[in-house]
This record gives sequence, structure tokens and C-alpha cells, in this order.
Amino acid sequence: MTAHTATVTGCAAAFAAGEVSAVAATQAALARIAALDGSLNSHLHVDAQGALATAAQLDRDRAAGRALGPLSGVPISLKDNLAAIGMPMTAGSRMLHGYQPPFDATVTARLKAAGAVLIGKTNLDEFAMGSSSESSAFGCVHNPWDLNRVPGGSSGGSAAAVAAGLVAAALGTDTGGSIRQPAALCGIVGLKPTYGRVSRYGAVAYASSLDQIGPLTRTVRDAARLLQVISGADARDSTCAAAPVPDFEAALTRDVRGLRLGVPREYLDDAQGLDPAVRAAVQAALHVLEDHGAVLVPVALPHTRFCIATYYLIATAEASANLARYDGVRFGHRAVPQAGDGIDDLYAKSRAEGFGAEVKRRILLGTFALSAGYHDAYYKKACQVRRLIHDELLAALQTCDALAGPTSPVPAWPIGGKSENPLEMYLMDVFTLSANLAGLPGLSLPLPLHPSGLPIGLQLLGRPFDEATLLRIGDAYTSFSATDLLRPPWGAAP
Amino acid sequence: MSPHADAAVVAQMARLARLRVSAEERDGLVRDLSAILGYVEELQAVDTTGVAPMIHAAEQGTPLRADVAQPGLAAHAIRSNAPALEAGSFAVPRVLGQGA
Repeated sequence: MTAHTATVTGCAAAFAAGEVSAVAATQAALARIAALDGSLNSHLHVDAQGALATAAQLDRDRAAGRALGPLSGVPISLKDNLAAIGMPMTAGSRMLHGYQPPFDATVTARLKAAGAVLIGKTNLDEFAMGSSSESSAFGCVHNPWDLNRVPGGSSGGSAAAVAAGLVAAALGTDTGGSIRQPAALCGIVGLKPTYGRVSRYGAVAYASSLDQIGPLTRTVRDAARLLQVISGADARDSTCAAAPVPDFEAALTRDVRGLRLGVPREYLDDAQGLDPAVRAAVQAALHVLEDHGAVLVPVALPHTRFCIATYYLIATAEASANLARYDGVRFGHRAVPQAGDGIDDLYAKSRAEGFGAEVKRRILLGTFALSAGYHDAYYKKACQVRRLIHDELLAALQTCDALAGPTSPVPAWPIGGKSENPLEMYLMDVFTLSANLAGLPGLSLPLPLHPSGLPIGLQLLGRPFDEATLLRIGDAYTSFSATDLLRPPWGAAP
Repeated sequence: MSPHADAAVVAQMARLARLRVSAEERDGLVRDLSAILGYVEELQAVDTTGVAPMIHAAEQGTPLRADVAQPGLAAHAIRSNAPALEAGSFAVPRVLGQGA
């Protein structure tokens, strides 16, 4: 097993069996980052010293016969909007350049307790606002399947790093598709858990009624392993649910007989802007599952067409409030004061210098949606339509065990191809937004490659707190189709 | 109702958001926000009579914990990221006496 092909469960098993030391696995990840990440720009920070110290301790623990964790010896990176003591956290923004969080996010603490070796922090769209990882203040991320193309976003650094085999897995955040869409565009597995499944303490808030943290991995079993570790109630996040956490790996039976899989016509037959080869690939995948005993059920979700407008009003409204904390006073970028500047000048200049164009656009749009005179027609209206979208999805999931469709309407596009027109970029999120608006779990799975040679994804949406069924279907599909073995040719040499 | 993100609206939102917008940025923002507001106008076609706004994905309410003191972050850890400190406090420009 080399770092290029390593999986989470494979790494953990090899370490537990004494076949590889944690230091060797960590050195292999660091060597691949040193050799390849100059081309990908997937990592904003690599903590080689900290990772090697953790690995050495794990090797001593194993030698001493101490109990190992489910992630012991596994190299994992964090999206750079998740706090880890000892590593800077920028959220991809000049605003937080040099910020050193004095605490661990709950997911960070849980990964550490499970034995993971934290390698570094991955690049992202600024404050996770984007669908291409081009809005990072620290340069765009490149897709390992074609370095001239975007990896998707906003967790594009996490997706590119996992797809290229720099690390075995990474965590991302998903507010409107930011785990699932880059996973699809990079040919890996991405899971957005149910809203409330995973604590968000220590995650940089973008839109608090939509944000969730989840894993990006090469296999569904790896996603199940990571979800197990990071799930569960947390006194530090009052939105984190007390719902019981099942054994997700035990759900991976590869038996899909009798499962009812809803196929919304708005996601497939009636979807506008859907690449014909993506449509055909999704249909073929559904027939694979049908051949193994799943039952396909036609579904109608007529409010799907309102998801983009609803999302971009609600998400930006929440962002405009969340990002008010960046004022140049307690932390973050502060403008050099001029003689006579008052507090409002300090705020306005610090924010003008610290935020990039897309973040400013969203703050202003959100401010508009919440402002006197516009609130009812924009924010409140969007929240009402959100309920209709939610109710429609929940009704479909009463008769179906999961819903299926494409993750992204198209494969990865060329860098710069959509960055001039923000609205055109927003349209790329059409299939992923509903899960966030309704709080549902969503799983993106690699499909066989598009005729262009680029990866594409199948998305499954499930009932609240029923990630297990999505993982079961996903594990079955990827094993039937062998799409969890796809690797980009680039960077294959060790 | 057709929304209009003209220069005055952008200037007003920038003031509310405490965000300085340069003259060069303003024209692009007027164009982009007009396009986005034009797009989201489609929501007005949805009949939402009597629909309660859904402002959160988790509507189970906010759990309370026992009213017992918990350890928090040390003051020096919080101050360590401050861009400007004076005598251990966050330094800010004059707050009072400004025409706001």
C-alpha cells in the first residue's frame, strides 16, 4: 500500500497490524505534499513537526500495547475553517491572515482522540463562499484530474488533496454543497451529515442554519469511519443533536434489495443545464442499483427550481450577520488608522481591506435581504419558500428510503471559466442546496468517468439522521461499479 | 416589484454593513447585485400564504445545560490575536463624539 492508494480503513488496519509505522505513513503523506502540492495548492499550512510528533507518540503507544483508536496512524487534513491549536486558521481570507486559534474545534479534538495524525489545513473559497475554490485569498486550487480545471468548492483543497492521495481523508464544511460538489468534481466520496449530527464548535460560521462539517474520503467505508468519530452531542454547540449515533460501518451490508430509491424528475429528466453524459451516467447507476434489487420510484419536487434563489438570500443574510464579528478589534485584519479616524472608519476600512470580492458581494446582498423595507419581500419570503422545499422533500422521503440524482450538473470547468459571472457560478449548486435548506444528509459518490475523462458524482439525499442508509447504498454502488478505485493519472508515481 | 441595486442602494448597504466600497468596486457591485436580485425575483411567484417562515434547520429548540461554572479560555489566549492592545485591553479609536 502506498500513500497514493491508501484508504482510512486500510491505513488504520496496517498500523494496527504493525505493517507500517505511523511515522512512515506520515512521512509518506508529507513527501507527497512536498512533491505535488506546488501544483495543486491544496494546503495552506502543513504542520510537519506536529504531525511527526503525533505519529512518533502513536508508534510508542502501539509498542507499549496501549489501546489504539479507529483512526490511529491515519494522515488527515482539515479544511482551513476548522480550528486546531498550533496551526493558523485563515478561512482563505486576508482577514484572518496570521490568526492562531487558541482552541480545538470539537471535530479536531475528536479526530485527535481517535488517533488521527493531523497533517495540515486545506485551501478553500474565502469563508467557504464559492463553488470553485478560486476565491481563496491564497490562490486557487487545481484539480488533480486536470490541473487547468477547478476542483469545485468550497472544500476544494480537501477534495484535491484526497483525490491526489496526499492524505487519506480530509474534513470539509458544506453550507450549500461545499463537501459534495468538490467530491464529485474530484472523483471521491463526500458526505454532508444531517444538520445537528456533528458539532460545529470551532468552525468558522458562514450561514449558521445551513453549515455542517463532514468527511471527504476515497471510499464510503472511510466516510462511515470518520462520521462515527465526529458525530454526537456536544455541550459547546446547542444546535448539535442528542440523537443516538448508530454503528455506521455495521450498516454497510451491500444489500440494497427492496430499498426504495426516489428519482426526482427535476434532478434528471426535467433538469435544465444538465450535461447529457452526466444524466446518462446517473441513469446507468440507478439501473445498477435496480439490478441489485433496489426499487426506483418516480418523484416530483416542483419547488426545486426555487432552491437557488432561496439559498442565496438566506445564506447571505446569515453571512452578513456572522461576518459582522470581523471588525479589526479583537482579532483579524486591522487597517492602519489615519488621523481623525473614528471607530466606524476602523471597521469599514479593515473590512474593505480584509474581505475579497465574493465575500463583499454576499455581505451586501445579505444586508439588503435583511434591511428595513426589503426584509419581508426577500429574507422572510425565502424562509417561507424554504419551508415548502423542506416539506416537499420530507414528504418524498416518507415513501422513499433515499432520493438520487446528479451532484453537479457538469464536470469540473476550466479555472476562470465562471469567475466573471457570480450568478452563473451560483447555478452550479442547483442539486446540492436542498439538503442544506431542509437539513438532510447528502452523500456524493463517484460515478464512472465522464467521456471527457473527468469525474462526476451521484448524489443521494436521506431522511434526517439516517446517514446509515445513504452509506449502505453508497458502499453497495461503489463496490458494484468499482468507482471507489478511480485515481487521477497525475501524481501516480510515488 | 422590480428590485433595483443602483449606486445609492449599494452605498446604503455598504454603510449598514460597515464596509468601505471603492468607486471601482461600486459599478461591478451594482451590476452583480442587480442580476442576482433580478434572478431571486422568481420567488415572488410562489404562493406562501399562511406558510410559517423556516428560519432554522433544527427546530427542536435550544437545550439548556446545568447552571454550573465551566472552565473557559484564559484571557491571555483570547488577547493573543488582538491587532492592538493597550494595558491588556483591546485598543480602539475614539468611539464617542463622531458624527455617525
